[in-house]
Amino acid sequence: MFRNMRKLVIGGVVILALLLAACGTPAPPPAAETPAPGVTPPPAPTTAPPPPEEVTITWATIAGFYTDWAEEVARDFEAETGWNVEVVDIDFSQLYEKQVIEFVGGTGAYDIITYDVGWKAEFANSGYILPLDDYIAASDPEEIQFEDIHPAIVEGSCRWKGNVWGLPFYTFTMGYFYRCDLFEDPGEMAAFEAEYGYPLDVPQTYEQMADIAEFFHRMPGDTLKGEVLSDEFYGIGLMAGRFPHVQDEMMSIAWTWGEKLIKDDGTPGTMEPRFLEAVHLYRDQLMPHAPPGAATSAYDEVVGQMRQGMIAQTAAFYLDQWANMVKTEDEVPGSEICAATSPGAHTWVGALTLAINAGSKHPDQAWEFLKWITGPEAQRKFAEGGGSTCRLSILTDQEFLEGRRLAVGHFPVLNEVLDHEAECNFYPNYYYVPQGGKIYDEETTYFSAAASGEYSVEEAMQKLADAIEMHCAGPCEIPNDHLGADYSPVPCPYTFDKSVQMRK
Amino acid sequence: MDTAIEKAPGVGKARKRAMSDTWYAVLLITPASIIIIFFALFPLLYAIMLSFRHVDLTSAVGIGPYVGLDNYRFALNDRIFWESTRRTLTFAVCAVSIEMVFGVAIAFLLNGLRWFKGIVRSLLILPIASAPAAVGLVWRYMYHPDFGVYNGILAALGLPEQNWLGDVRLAMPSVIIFDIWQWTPFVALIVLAGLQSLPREPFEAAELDGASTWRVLRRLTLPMLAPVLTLVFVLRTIDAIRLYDVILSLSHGGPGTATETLTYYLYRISLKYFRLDIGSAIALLFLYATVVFTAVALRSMMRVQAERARRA
Repeated sequence: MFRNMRKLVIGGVVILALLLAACGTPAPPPAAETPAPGVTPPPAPTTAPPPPEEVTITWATIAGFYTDWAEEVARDFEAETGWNVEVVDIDFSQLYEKQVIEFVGGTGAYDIITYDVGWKAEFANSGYILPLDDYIAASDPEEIQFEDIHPAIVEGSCRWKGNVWGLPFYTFTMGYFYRCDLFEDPGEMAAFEAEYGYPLDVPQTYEQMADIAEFFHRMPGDTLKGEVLSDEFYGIGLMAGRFPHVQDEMMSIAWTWGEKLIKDDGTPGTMEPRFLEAVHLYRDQLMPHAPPGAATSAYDEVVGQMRQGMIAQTAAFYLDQWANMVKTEDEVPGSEICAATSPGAHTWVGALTLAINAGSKHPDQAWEFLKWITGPEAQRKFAEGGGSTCRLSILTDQEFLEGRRLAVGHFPVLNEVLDHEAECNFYPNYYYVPQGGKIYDEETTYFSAAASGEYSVEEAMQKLADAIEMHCAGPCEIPNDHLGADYSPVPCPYTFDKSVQMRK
Repeated sequence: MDTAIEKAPGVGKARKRAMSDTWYAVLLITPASIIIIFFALFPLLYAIMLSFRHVDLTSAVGIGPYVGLDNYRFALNDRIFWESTRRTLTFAVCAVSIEMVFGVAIAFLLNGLRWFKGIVRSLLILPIASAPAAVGLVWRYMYHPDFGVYNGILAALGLPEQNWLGDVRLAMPSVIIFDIWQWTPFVALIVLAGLQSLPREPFEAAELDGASTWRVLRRLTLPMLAPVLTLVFVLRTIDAIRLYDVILSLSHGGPGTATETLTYYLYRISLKYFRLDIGSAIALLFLYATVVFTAVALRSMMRVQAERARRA
C-alpha cells in the first residue's frame, strides 16, 4: 500500500516537473472571441397572453429598502393583472454572478433582471437580455413616457449599440453630503479661511475637499463648533473597503480630472500620471483624515459614521442614501445635512436598470411588469417613499418636492448632476466595454489594495492595468460610435450653485 | 472428491451465505455510492475535462476546444495563484499549530475536571455548531475599529485600539484568531475522547514505578495519543486550506488582497469571471496537493495500525 502511495507521490512530482518544464513563456491569454452576433429583436407581441393563473414573473433585484417598496408595489400589479410577481432580492455584491449563472445555465429562472451600468454592455453583447425597442414601439407611449427618463440615464444605463436594453428602476448617481451646520459655523469659517486662504464652502475641487478633511480632523480635547470633543472627529468618511464602492469614489476624482479607466484607444489609463495623482490624493490626502474603519467600510458604514456624528463630509457618495443620511439631524443635536454635487460633478451617473432575460419563458408578461414598475405612476409612489427616480417630471416637480425634504431633499442636486452629464455629453468609455462586469471586480480589488497600502499606488494601478488587458485580451472594444466618430469623454467646467439645496 | 466435498453437509449453505453477504454489502453501500458518484465523482471528472479545454462561459466560446496543458501552464505562472497559495499556507500553519497546542491543553484540563465536565463540554460545542458565515459576520462587527467590542475592551484597558481587518498587517492574524476561537474546541473534544479511551494499566504501572508527570506525558500519553493527534491534525489542515465562507463574511479577501486565500481566488476566477478552465486547473492542482499531503501525513499512522493488526 505504501509502495503504491510512493508511486502516486513520485508520479505526481514527475508530472508537476513536466508542467513546470513546459511552462517557459506562459501561454498568451486566449484571443478575444468576436462578440456574439446581435440578437434579432423579437417581433412585437401579438399573441394573447396565457390565462393569469399560469404566469409567475420572477424578478431578480438588489436587496435593500428599494426591494421592500417593490414588493409592496408589485401587489398592486398582481391585483390588476392577476399575475404573480416573485421578487428575489440579492445582495449587490452577488447580484452579478447570481444572474450570470442563470444566464449561462439557460435556466430562465429570472424573467426580469437588474443590471448596473458597468454590466450593460456585457449583458447585451452576450445575448443575455432582450432589446426593448420593439416592445417600446408597440406600447402606449403614455404608459412608458420614455422622454421623461433623464437623457443622461438613457444614454449611460439604457442604450448600447443603438438599442434600448433596459428601463431604469432607480438611480444611485453620486453627489456629496456634508454637515452644513459645521460649514456655516462662524468660528469654523473664520478659522478655515485664516488657515487656507479661501472661504469654507462646498468644495469645488478635490484639493479643497482634502483641505476640508484636514481642517475638520480633530483630536479629543480639541473644539468643534465651540464644544470640546471627547472623541476623535474625522474630516471625511470613505468607502475604501474591498467593496464596489471604492472605485466609485476614486473614479469620480479621476474622471473630474479628465482621466479615463479605459482610454479612447481601448488601452488601460490607470498608469497615466494624472490618474496616479488622483489615486494618490485619495490615499495620501483623504484616507489619513477618515476613521480607521475606512479600509473595511462600505456605504452603510459611512452612513453610520455620519449619523454617529463622527465625520464632517463624505467624498463622492450615493445620493439615493439621502433618506438615511438626513436622519443624522435627529441623532446629532444641532446638526444639519446638506446635499451637493461632488467636485466637478463628474461621477458615477447611472441607474439600476431592469431588463428582460432572453431566456425568460414569459417575455411579454415580463415586459408588462417592467414597463409598469418603471412607469410614471409606480415611480412617483417610489419617490414618495424616498426612492431616487430617474423621471424628470418628478425630479423637477416643485409641488412634489414641497414638504418632502426628508424623503427627496436630494432631488434638486440629483437633477443638477444628471443635467451636467447630459449637457457635457460625458459618458465614460468604460460604460460601453463588453468586459465591464469583470473589470468592475478587478477595480474593487486593486483600488482597495491601493487605499489600504497593501501595494503602492503605482503597483496597484499596474496590476489593474494588467487585469484589464487580460480580460479584454488586448485593447478593449468601445462601441460608442453613436456618440460621434471621434468621441472622447472630456469633462466640462462646473461650479455648484447652493441655491438648489433643500434646507432644513 | 469434489462430489464428496460438495455433498458434505453445510458447505453449500455456507457458499450461499457468502454470496448473500456480498450482495447485502453492495446493497448497503449503494445509496452512498450513488451520492458520491453524482456529487463527487462526476463533477471531478467534468472538472478534469474542463481543465483541458478553453472555457469562458460569458463569451461566445462557452465550452471551447481542447488546449492541452495551457490552463495548467497559466495557473502555474499566475502570480495571484502563488500569492494566494502562500497566504493559505500561512493561515493553515499558524491556525492549525495554535489550535493543536491549545486544543490538547484544554483536553488535558477537561480530562482532569471533576465537576461540570458535561456542561463545559457542551459549551465547547457552541463555536463548532455555529455557521461560519453567520458568525463571521458577527465577528466583522466585533472587529470594527469604530463600533466594535474588541476595541471597546482595549480602550477600557487603556490599550491602543487596532484596525483589525483594515490594517494589512493585522487582517490575516484577525482571521486566524477567529479560526482558533471556532475550531480549538473541535481539537479539544477529539483529543479528550482519545484521552478517555486510553487504557489505565500502563499509567498505574508508571505511577507505581514513580515516573514523573512529564515522563508519563512524553513516554506514554503522547505516543498512545499519536493516532488521534495525527487524525485531528490532518482533518483541521484540510479544513483550514479550504477556507472560504469565513473570508467572504469577515473580510471579502481584503483589505486589498491581504486575506484572499486560494479558495477565494478560485471563487473569483470561476464565479465572477466564469473562466472555468483556469478554475478547474487550479482546483485540481489544489486537490492533488491535498491528497499528497494526506497520504504523507497518514503514512506513519497507517504503518503503526498495520503493524498492530499484523501482531494481533
